Amino acid sequence: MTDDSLQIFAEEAEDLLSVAEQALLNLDDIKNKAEALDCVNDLFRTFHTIKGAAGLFGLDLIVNFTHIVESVLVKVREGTLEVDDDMVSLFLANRDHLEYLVNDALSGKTEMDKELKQRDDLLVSQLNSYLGETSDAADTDKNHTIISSDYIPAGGVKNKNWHISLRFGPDALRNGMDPSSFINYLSNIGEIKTVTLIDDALPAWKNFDPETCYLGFEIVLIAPQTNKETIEEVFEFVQDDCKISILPPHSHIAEYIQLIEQLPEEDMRIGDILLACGALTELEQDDVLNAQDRITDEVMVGATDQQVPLLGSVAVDQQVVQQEVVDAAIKKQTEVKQHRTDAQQTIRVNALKLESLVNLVGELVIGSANAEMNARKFSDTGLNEAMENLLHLIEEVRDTTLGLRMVQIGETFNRYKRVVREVSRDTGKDIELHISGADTELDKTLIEKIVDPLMHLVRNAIDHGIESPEKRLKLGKPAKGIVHLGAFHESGSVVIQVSDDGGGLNKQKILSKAIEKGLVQQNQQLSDKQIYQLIFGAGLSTADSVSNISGRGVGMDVVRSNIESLRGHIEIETTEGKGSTISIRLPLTLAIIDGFQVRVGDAQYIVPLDMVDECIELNESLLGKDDSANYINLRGEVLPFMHLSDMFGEDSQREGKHIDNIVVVHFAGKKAGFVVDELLGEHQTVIKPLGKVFQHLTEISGTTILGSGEVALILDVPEILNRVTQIGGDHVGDAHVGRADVDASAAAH
Amino acid sequence: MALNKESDSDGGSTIDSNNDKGDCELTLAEEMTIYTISNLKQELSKNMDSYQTLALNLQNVEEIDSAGIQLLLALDKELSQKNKSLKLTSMSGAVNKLIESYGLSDRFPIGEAA
Repeated sequence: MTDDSLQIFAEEAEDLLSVAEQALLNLDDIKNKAEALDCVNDLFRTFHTIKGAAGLFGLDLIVNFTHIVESVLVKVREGTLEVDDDMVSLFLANRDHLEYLVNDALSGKTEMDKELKQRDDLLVSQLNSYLGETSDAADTDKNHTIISSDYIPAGGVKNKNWHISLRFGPDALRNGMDPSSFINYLSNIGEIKTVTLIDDALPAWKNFDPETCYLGFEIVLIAPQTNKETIEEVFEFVQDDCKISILPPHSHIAEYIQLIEQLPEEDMRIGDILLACGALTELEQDDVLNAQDRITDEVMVGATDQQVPLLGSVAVDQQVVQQEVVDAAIKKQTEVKQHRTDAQQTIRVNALKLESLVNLVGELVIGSANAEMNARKFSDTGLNEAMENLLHLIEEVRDTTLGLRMVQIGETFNRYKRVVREVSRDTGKDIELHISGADTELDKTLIEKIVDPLMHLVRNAIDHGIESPEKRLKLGKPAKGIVHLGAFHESGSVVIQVSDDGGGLNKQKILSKAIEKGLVQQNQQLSDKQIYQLIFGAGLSTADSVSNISGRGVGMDVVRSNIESLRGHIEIETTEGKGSTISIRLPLTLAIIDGFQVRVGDAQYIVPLDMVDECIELNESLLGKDDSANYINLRGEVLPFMHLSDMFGEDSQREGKHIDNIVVVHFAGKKAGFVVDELLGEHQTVIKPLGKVFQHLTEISGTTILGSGEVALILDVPEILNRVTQIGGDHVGDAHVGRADVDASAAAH
Repeated sequence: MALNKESDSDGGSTIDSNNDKGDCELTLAEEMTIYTISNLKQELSKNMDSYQTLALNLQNVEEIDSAGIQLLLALDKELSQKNKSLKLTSMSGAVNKLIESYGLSDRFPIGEAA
């Protein structure tokens, strides 16, 4: 086998394993029997497919291991084993182990190393304990080395071949779907042992329409190395025109019963056909038909007291139930198919290629700005119009290119289901994960980088946030805690929230801890928000005990610095006793943004357009009497502002007739104004990161190149906002103190 | 249905009939596929009451598909219901191959015309 195809196997296995994980986690939630069975079937199918594919590659380690997993699953499917929490955990461990095995296989190892071997043995013995005494000990031991086709799971039939039932629809021939070509194609997969043509549906000659297809086939296929999907694929083209049932080797008798019931022909006739083509032994056939009789008998017995017509309706009811099961199965199948076609519509592209495309588009945007500037000089209408058109197209190219890297965050969120499950088990808490906004899109590189910080936050929420069930009940909350993961877009950024309905943060506890560690001075005045923000500082953990999950006080500041390195911001809102919400705000993309260009002194600056609310003239009426104040009255709201010229030390023409403009920006619920000399309008901004020397600058998040070739600085609005509102906040605080004084003096009077 | 029309026009030469008292021997033309099958059925429906045994010579059939096989099956069923019989006197390689791949060799043995 070539490395390429092995790679494909590994990718496929990875996908399947994530499906398995999903199914397992669903299984954990579902108490409904029918749905649980669906999950088990999913699970079985994924493990089975991996086994089949691994078999093709001769990866015995994987085949052997999945085989035992499968055997346990078969028992679950039969109903001899009940799924419980421990079993789900075991299967999750199995899934992980399989992941290691697949990785090993990919790197070409054929032997397990010691650690892996130990785990393998442990898992196998645990699995075998589920298989229990029902299968004899020698057999289970042998399981591990045996080849799958020789092994008959309990309840399975002796037939080690595939059984395929086909009933072609009336239009199959007219649509050019000749059954013979499919049957011929089957011989590429395995050896066709027998083909039995079923012509029971042929009408009398008079009514016989020779262009309509009345044919059906029962086929026995010898193909020990193949899997069900491969066979299904053969019939993929004809699935609209054909009823297809595929029974794997050693299928359970119940499956044959179901098959017989599904087929239009009489039961006895089908039984005989199955017998004739070797699908069933005579004994098994009796079993099957007896089982059917029993069902019918029960119906009869149940109906004896009642009137005869009811008997029919009971039978119909039975039929209906089965029809539902069948429908469910078909729906499932089409969903899987749908999913597969979705997958086929995507192309895997090397990330580097995408990267260079984005870079090129960046250059294109800069180049177009330059061209536009030069074109303006000619004041030629035709040229300007063409330029306008071109710019519009470039903008679209830019958006589409950036869109290529957008990925829905839902899949990432789903990963945390597992984390929640495990951590809540470890801590003995009962916790449910709610997810919202799973379809929110985010740059792929961003998603990859927030996986770990998010993991930390989720663990924190469970470990610190949510109380033990006893405590919750005492507090009058439901015993089951809720952790909520959400995502949504907000003015050019993506907000990701992790919230819990736990205890919330204890302000005093944080403050005293911070003072104890010397992070805060004893008499320092801090707003609530500032206190909460302390938990993102280094060396602070409010958990009294250090667990293996969290509490060492290194986590949150790492989370914060990770988020900030992505030009993101993190914030916490909390209500003591009710829970906390941590919001992470991330820029939509790391590469190109719409910017708003302003001039301060001689230099040009860019404000991210998404954060710009409005632009207003700064005139006397807004400023009021106090000229030195750094806040204005904006339609009854207090709006703090600052002169960018002061901040960046630019020579501003504040004297004379010049009218200053205020750019009102907002971020994360805060608003402020920047006073600038001139508004220059929109600019497509390609963000160039700052060099190492300038990385410590907090007010600047990057640079960009203007059409003229000049460099403009991109303002880090959130950072500046923090500063402005802090200054403003201090003033508000002063005012408050002032009023308190007045009150006090009033009281004294 | 241009195809049908075309085969309609040479429909007369499609089937050679050799009508004896109780037996009928027919030699079918080159094609037994979905495109020609309607005409073929019409031809075969003629004089169905007049013979006891129908012998079909499939020596010249170069193209056959599942519609062709289905027609043979329907014909066989119909005739045996009326206590008549269908025999295939000889068949081309193509016919033989398809009949074999459908596992119908036992049902359509090659026999001499009665």
